[in-house]
Amino acid sequence: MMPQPSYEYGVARVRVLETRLLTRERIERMVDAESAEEALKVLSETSYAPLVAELGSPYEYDELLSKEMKRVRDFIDEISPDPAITDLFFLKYDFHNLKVLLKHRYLSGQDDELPLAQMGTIPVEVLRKAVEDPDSGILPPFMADVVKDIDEICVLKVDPQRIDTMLDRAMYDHIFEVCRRKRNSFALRYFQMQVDLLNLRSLLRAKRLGQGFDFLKEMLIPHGSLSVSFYSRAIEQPYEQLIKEVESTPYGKVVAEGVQDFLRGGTLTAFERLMDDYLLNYVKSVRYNPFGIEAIVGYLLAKENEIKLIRIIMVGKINDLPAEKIRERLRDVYV
Amino acid sequence: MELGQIFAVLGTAASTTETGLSLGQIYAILGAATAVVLAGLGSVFGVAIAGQSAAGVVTEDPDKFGQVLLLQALPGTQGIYGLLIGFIIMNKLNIFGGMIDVSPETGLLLFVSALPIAIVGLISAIYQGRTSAAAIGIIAKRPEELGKAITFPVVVETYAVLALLASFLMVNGIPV
Repeated sequence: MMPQPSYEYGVARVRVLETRLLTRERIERMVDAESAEEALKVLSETSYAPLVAELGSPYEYDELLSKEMKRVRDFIDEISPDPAITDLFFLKYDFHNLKVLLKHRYLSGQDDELPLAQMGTIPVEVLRKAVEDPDSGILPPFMADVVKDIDEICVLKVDPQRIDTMLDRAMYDHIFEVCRRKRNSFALRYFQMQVDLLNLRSLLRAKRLGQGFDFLKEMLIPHGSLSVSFYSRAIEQPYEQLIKEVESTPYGKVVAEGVQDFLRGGTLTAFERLMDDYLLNYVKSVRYNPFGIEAIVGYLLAKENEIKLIRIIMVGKINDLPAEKIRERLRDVYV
Repeated sequence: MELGQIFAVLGTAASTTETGLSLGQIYAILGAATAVVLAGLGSVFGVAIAGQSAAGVVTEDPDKFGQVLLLQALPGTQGIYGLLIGFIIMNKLNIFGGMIDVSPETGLLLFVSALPIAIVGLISAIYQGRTSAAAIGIIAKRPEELGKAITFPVVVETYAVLALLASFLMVNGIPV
């Protein structure tokens, strides 16, 4: 029986499943577990139980997580009242795959195992074929066009940074086109914040490398809410001035905390964690709408987050990292 | 024909039409039908909205069937209220035992009396359905909070009950 793809139905199913997400307390117990086996035992008390039972050893945790993610993917497809919008949240996997495949084609060319994601909207095999033959016409136009453009440019000179940027821009062009056509203000707002945060990260990266605006300009993604002139100013300013300038924007706290940690440790890990938390918190704040896509997207992001957390914990446990180190790397839990 | 002429014609045909029905009777039956149809449609929309939410919860957790069914049924009351008013009007006309004649004025009054439950019933049932759907979301997460969850749609019910009361008093007060 096909369930009716109505918002009411989909949101109600998600509401039940939200109760089965890992709680903060469970995550803490996993972090404090003695060993990887112990951590898995905590997991076996949750909705992951059947998957844990199938597992041969803790080292196969990755298989468990991909199975769970695949289940979430199928679930969203099944209940989404508006697949055009939910698909936007899976596009990052397609474009990740395209980046890997294109760089593989133009840079190494060897037949090694590629880190491809199975979660995209387009099967990996189709992407592979399309990258080998950019004129095959098997991709949707917004992907085919950028693959063709990259093919033309790479004949002259291969620039991996350029490939990334072109793909990112093509992806967000498409995302914003769909959000506007569908008049979905939630998705529009979400992706706008994502673009802003990615651009701010590019800004910090460029500053760390001591580069000027010309370098940064190449990496910026359009459609954000911060103007280009902001970035051209910010790249020249000292960090304190930058923090002051973004104070009035919604990203003030993220930038302030992220930059402080960056100045101490020299990495953007904290900024990236704050970025994810920020977006997750936004979705958390709007997920109570019973007649919109928010709760469904919220569940997807919560699940992605949860799987990320489990992965961090399992990697840490297998490598015998102290609990404190693992905790530092964990993100907020959605529930 | 101009409006004035129509009224003139209607006026002369006031007592009985060709089929043997008076204009007053037609107005009154129209009122009964409006109450049943509009309030009933509202309930159809309302229980359908809440029902989709209920089905979603039961898909993941069949044990909650009883609680969500209760919430789904709430927007169904408007249809019953509409039928009640419709029935009282029909009863006044003695429709089941050879109709009695009513004047056009009385018929029109009966029609107008049906409007509160017809219109308020239609709209309140739809919004109550939405509120119920949201309340079913509470049950999905906290099944022990049924009492609180049910309160929100019941608040919407208040106004359907008030409209029913208004219609009931009016229909009852009209001498036939």
